Amino acid sequence: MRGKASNSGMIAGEGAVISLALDEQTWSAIEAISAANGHLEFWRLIEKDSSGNILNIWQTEAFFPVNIPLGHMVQAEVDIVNDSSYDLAGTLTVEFLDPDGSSRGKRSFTYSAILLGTQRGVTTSYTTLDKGGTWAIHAKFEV
Amino acid sequence: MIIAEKSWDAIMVGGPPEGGGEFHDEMMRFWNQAAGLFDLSSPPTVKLGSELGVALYGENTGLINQTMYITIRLKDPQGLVVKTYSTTPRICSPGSYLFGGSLTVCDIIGDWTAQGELYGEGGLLDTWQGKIGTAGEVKKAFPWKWVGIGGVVLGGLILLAPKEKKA
Repeated sequence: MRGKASNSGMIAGEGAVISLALDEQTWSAIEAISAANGHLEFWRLIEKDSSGNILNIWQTEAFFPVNIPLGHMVQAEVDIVNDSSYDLAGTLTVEFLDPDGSSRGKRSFTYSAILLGTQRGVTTSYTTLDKGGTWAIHAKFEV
Repeated sequence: MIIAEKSWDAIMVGGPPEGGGEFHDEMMRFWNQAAGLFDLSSPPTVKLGSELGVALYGENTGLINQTMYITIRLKDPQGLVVKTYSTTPRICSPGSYLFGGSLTVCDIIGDWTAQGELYGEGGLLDTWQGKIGTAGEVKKAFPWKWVGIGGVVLGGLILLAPKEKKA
């Protein structure tokens, strides 16, 4: 849409100045979209014994922290849920933090388009529990 | 720019036994004998067609309440699982016991075994595996004792019997 330039005139009277707007128009030129929005959901934790046999699969965080013997292997999956009003692109990273805070089994994946209202996940690699103490699952989603 | 970030304290490795539990050998020994099933240390020999079984007791050795259950698999002499039993999951307070028992009819000659698993909120807590008995034809020993007793009695009667007087 093409607009007209505003044209105004001034009439000077006895000590008074009157300004008249002869034309005025508004253009809806820019739509500022809301900030990207999403949340992370724990999806599952798999435990394998040292021979590679699957022993347990937890699909709820209600039992955290679960007790797992030293030497067993674990893999975690976390999902990013797109709460935005548009498709989301970004990188999801999931890792274990061992009792010393070191990153273990870290994996990332960059999604070019997570459709609005949907979710996508990333798993850690299988990691051997070689330290006693509390192990955390840590995840972040960056755009 | 980070849109979302979260951490879960998900795993306890070799930590305090909040969710601990184990089969209690003494309870199992006592109750299996009391129930007339068998002595865990010397499984019985039974006739083919009789019942064999086991009672398992799991103890919550943790420090907090937890939901626990027991599964029992009974195996025939060829190792095939002939019966699988699972208790209903129950909330057990620390130091309390959970009972699970299962019986089966032994229709094959040989050693019958059982495998038990105790589960809590930390997953598999303990396992038990053992022989529950041997099924076979129970042969009766020849009653030599009664033959001996009978012989002594008969001999005595012969000796004591009144003799006929000769004319």
